Amino acid sequence: MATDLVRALISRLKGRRRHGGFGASTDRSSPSSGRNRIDPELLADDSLDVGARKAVTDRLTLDRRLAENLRILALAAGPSPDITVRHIVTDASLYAAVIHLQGIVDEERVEGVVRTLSSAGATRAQDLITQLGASLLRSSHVTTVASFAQLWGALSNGLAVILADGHNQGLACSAQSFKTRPIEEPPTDTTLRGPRQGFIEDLTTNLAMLRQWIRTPNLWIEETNLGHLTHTRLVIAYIKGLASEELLAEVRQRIQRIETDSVLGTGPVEDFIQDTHLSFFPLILRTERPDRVVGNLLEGRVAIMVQNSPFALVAPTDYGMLFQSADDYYEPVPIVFVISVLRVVAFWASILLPGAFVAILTFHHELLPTSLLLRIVGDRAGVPFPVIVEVFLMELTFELLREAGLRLPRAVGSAVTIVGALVLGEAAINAGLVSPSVIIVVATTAIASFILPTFSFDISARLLRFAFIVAGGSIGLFGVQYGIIMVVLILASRRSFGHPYLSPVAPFVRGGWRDYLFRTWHWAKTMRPKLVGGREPIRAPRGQMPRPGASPESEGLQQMKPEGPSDNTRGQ
Amino acid sequence: MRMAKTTEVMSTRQLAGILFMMRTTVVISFVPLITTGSAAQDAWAAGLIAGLLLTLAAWVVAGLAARYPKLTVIDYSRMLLGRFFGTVVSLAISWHFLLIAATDIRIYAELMRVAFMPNTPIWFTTLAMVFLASLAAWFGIEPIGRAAEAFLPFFVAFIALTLLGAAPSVNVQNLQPALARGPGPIFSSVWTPLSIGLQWVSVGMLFPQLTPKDQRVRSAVVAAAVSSAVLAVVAAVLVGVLGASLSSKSLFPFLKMARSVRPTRTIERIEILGTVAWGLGLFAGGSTMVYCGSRAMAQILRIQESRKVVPAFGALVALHAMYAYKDAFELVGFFRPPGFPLLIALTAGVPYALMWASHVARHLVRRHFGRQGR
Repeated sequence: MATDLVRALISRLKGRRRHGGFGASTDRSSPSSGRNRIDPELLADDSLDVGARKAVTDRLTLDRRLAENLRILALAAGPSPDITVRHIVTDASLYAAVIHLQGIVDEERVEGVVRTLSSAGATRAQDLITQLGASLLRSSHVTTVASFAQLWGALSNGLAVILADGHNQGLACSAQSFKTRPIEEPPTDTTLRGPRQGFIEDLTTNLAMLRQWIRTPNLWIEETNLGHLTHTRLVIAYIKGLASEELLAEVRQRIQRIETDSVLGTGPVEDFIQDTHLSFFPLILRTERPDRVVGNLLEGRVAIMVQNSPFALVAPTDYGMLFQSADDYYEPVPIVFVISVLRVVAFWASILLPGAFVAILTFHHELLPTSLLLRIVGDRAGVPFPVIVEVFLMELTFELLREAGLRLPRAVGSAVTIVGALVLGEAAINAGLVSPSVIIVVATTAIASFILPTFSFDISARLLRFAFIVAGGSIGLFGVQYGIIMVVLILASRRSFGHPYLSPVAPFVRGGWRDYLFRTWHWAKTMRPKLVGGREPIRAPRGQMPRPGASPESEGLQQMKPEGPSDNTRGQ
Repeated sequence: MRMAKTTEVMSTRQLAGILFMMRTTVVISFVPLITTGSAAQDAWAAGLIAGLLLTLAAWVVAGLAARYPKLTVIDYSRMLLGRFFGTVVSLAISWHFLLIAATDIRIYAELMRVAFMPNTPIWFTTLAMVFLASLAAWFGIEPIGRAAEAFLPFFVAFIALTLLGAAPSVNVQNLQPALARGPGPIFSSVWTPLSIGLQWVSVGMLFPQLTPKDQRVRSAVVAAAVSSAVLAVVAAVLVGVLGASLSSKSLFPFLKMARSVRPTRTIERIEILGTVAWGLGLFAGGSTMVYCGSRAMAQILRIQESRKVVPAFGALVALHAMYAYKDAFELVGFFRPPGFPLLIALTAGVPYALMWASHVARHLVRRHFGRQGR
């Protein structure tokens, strides 16, 4: 009987929209006035699956009787030891209870709530709740709860909930004290001159960091919950009036389309919302650095952040963004320019070098200068494998070492990588299994791949490298060129939230080059990137290039001159 | 009438880049072999004159397209010439796309065999390039345009570096005496490079997708002028390095020139630059032709989604590329006058002349009746 009721209920619920959308997360669980009250005893049925239990709990409203509400809590949440219920009889002899979850509240603040409640003088439960909410509770955030879903939402957010016998509404007041790790420099994106600040797993702290960077009220943050079991908080952050409304609508729509039981970090979100699932290259930027997120927000992009993840997603993303490092904005431009060129060259070298090496040594000896060719061939004398096998094996070994280094504890990992590389390389040469030139190529490739600042981009390069080795080893430079064309074609066909991935190179966008692969001076960044920041293209007025005054003696030096004795006295 | 329906757009800059790469690739493959029939040391002059005529031809093609800016050549050929003749012209234009794609790919396959991979069978290189062109066509004209735009600087740089590398080896005496035999031999050498300008028919297919709209005709004309200038420069450098006799006998004169020079002691070979440029140009041209051909066939066969036609068209291109020519010499022979220029004049020149005539006639009739009505 109970199961039939639940089935009927679920079928009705299926017709409803699952998500209330951004900003509607609190309304989602509020009981509608027209609903029939459901018997909480249904939850005692062990045969109910999680979907049915959710259907029931979503429809449970609070009862006027305190004991009944506590019974609902026990039936819905089970014998959970972290749920603490403090029974109180107020000074006016009213029965009440303060409920909270251990470990995520500040005990002292809860004790304060208990003291306030016990000394309250209201004689009716309804008055008690009203008075507490209006004036008695010294809490920054107080809200009314009327359903079990609201009650549980408040508890899991670290609020303490007050229920009084005789009233079907409770009061939730802030008492959060989440245990989080301190803000540290992110290990995946370090900087020499930039701030030592990275996101952590607590979303509230991350948002606070953004607020510290961007103090305009136009930094808008929209929140929703994802995952019908995890209820993971997700926010999109953008600058109102700068990010295009079309982009925002697209981001909202893609996120609202997500229907899943769980969202564990930004990875699943990225999977759901990126433009295509078959992409070797990251179509959304992931970063742990608030300054990178802020920089992108200021260009008109959108950031997506998820509770329990130290990574923020930035969209739309283009190819050039993946070459940028936080340090680029803190170092002098000429140096950054050289380093940026190095990065681009390194990226393509890390993909192409082994393949081209194999192709030339296998098919196109004539392309090498004679002396170099003789040296390489001389070194390879006695090596029992063809070049392609040699390079493939060494690259594979290096990848194994790198993965091992990542998975092992940090102290051991680096040692294993270094020792493994040195010992294996030396031993392989001594045994005559590989030639020194192959070791040089593999090592150069590896070093080149380390230069890339975006880890997800580096992985793409690592995997593509093997494809190019096979192409170069089987059909020579034709294969390498074929692969390059294929990669560029695929890159050209990609979009990130409708934004061409290769822009402003292709399609060529004249206004998009000032902060693309190579950054320009801050005073020269007068315009925002055309495709994302076109809504408010002007960033700063022109003509701010630093220059000495027309007459240093009359302007600069005069200004620096301290107030003091006149020229007459100086000579004395 | 069935109008072309697509949401894709490409910039006029991208079109100009594709046309430039496409023409330069094919022309430098055989120039001055196919122009020096009698022009000899004046191959560069033949290139220039062919360029002037091609610029005019580009204006003819793009100018007609500009009169029907929302229609493809398939649409307005039927409108201007009637259903039957329009379909015949549409089929001829589709065949042009097939011919250009297949011939370009075969040239590249022959080049790879001659230059780098003598043991690799022609069919392998051909199929690989057809697959790439078909894949690009399947992705659509937007990715093709963007990829071509990304490749264009490298294409230009590689051709320029090859020419610069060869420049010290230029013997000016090879270019002398200039114009000594009069204009006759030069004019007789103009027709093949001009006929290769058949590639501009693609403008008629892509015109509705081009943006910005006010630069569409200009981009087609500028691409013709610039690529013809490059042709003249390449011809001059080639003859300057190899001499008129050798450059008219080599199968791939540009490759021979690149191989014959040694810029420095360390950099002994530079032919790889030209070969890479060829590959990039072939990709741009081949994929555009497969795209245009597939769209044309889709329109003729009333298939809504041109992507569905791409594999079949790609297969036709592969078959034509593999079986239409026995070897590279037959390929060169195909281009020789008067056969090739006559073929193109009949299958492209005459239809365009008829379409223009029909357009002018319709225009005059409309004006005449318009005045009467008033």
